[in-house]
Amino acid sequence: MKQCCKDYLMEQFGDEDVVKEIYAEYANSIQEKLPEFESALASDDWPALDKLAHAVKGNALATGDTGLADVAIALRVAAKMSDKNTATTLFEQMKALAKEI
Amino acid sequence: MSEQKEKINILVIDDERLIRLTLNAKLRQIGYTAVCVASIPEAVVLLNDGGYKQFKAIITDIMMGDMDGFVFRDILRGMDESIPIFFMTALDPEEGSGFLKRIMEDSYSFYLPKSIKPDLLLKRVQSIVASRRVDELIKAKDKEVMESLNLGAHLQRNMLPPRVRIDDTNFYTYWWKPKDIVSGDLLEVLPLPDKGGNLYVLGDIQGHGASASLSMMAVQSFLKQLPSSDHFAAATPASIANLMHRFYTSNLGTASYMTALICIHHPETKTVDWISCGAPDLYVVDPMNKDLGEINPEKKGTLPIGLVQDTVYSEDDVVRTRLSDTALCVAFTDGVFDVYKDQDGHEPMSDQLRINLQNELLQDARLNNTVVASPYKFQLACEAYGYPVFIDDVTELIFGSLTMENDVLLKSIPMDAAAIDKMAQEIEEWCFDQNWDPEVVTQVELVFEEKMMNLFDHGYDMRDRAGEQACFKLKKTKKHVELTVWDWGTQEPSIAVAAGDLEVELELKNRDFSGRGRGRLMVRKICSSIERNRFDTLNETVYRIRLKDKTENGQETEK
Repeated sequence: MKQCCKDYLMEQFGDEDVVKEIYAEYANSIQEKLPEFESALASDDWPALDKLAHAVKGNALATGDTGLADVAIALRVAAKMSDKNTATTLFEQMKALAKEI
Repeated sequence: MSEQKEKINILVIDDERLIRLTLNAKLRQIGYTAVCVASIPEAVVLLNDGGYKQFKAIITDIMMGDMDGFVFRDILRGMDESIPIFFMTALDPEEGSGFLKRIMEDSYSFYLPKSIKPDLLLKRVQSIVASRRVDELIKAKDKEVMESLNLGAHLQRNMLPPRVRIDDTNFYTYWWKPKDIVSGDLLEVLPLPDKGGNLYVLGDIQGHGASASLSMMAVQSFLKQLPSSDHFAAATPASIANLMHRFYTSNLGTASYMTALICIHHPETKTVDWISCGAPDLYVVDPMNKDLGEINPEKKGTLPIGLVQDTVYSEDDVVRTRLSDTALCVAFTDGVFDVYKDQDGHEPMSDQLRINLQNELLQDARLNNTVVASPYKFQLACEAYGYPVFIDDVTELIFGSLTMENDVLLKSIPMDAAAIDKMAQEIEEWCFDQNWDPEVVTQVELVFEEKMMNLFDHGYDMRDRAGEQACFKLKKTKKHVELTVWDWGTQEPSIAVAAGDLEVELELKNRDFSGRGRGRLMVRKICSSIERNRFDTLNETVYRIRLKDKTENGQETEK
């Protein structure tokens, strides 16, 4: 479990079992979305990319993962600008951070 | 039961499983029960058919699938206008999407960031739910008060005298209009034994609302038992004032007082004796002869009833006014002076305009024998001159002697089937005395009976019908017979039948209803025109039956 998430969730809920359940769901939700990101990037579907990044941002903030939340925010900006190069770079960063979850 | 012990259900809508999970955990932590759904359609299914009542609040995401949280809010507000909605979102308020503004468009919508901590979530949701609970309690109390006031108004209305009375020697009509639901104005009319006249008491309790209306009911009840007293036959306005004053000060204390105009009308001597206890003077108008002179040259008038404990009203305070044959006496409470152009009390109607309006209405009424409707037209007349706002209870009473041309029949009639039947026979006899064509007489009878029985069956609530009246006028012009009916029932809807279809419609009704439901269509067939007016609570219906003209060879044509 990422330390930042553990600290955040323990402060919120104070119950290890609850924290584990939430963290597991967080990890699952990020993994589920990665293929959708790839598909949206490949087809230049910027609205879909924006929506996915928004969802990741929300999930990350809900679990205290501010690092991933920041990448998601930047990815939203790139999607709105239809900036493929920046979006691709940021997606790589997202995948790297997702591996740590 | 405190909010913590009461089960608090919160509906959570978010398409992200993680968010549903974390919110569920947060709400559980603070003792609430989260009911979670993943989409707006699922939420709508739960909320439909009164399902929304189980939830104290709703927490929803904004961006979800094809339907956003604001579309959901529109759907929800169609069900309930005040259930709190918390928009929980990861959207940045500084992003410029304008979602904060959209949230604020609704009084019961609130913003929560997705990162909000449980204790802050608790405080926010608790305070909003508690405040809504207070709103609900206030609304429930308000509803209770309104129901109570409406019942009070109903009782007050039933305590008042019949709305109109016309007999052989005199008549009266009055308009009683509360400013709000109940009124502090009272009116009592008591026939005088052996004298053929009436005692009129028109009062205005100080103040408004429930307290004034309760005092009104007490005084009205007191007045109603006066005829049972041995001294009533010899009563004078001053003696009545003294009795009322003693009752008021003994039973209603000195917390309030009432102004009163007490009149005794003697039709046989064509006089009215009256005393003003702080009230507007009696106003006498003769539309046929304008010069009546000063009614109250000595400016007699006394203190209001109940104002000063040891007030004694004497016969020296009473004014005697002689009336011409066509004079009308008008008594009103001071609400007629409180008529304005707007709700802020700007630009009151001038006294002169009010007098002009009333003179105009009364002259018209006297000439056309429509005095019954006259006081009800006052508000409409004020509105026509740009003064629609009445800020006080208003009562206007008109009484006087009946002077009717021989070819006009004017009667009041109680809402009673037997009385209606009897009056129909009286009309027939009167018409034949006037040498009217028998066919016309039959038509008049049909129209009269149909109108009255319709009124009896459908025009009033059955509980109220017993004390109600109607009034009618029957006369013949060169081309028509005109039957005017005044009633206080519900407004009669018009029959939407196209010209030329009456025969067909009537035939169908004859077949289908075996006699029922044909009456109004028959009336349409008989009458060349039916005119309907409404003046406040008074309906006026004018039926015109075209007269046939006999030519030299005896053939009939319509006039």
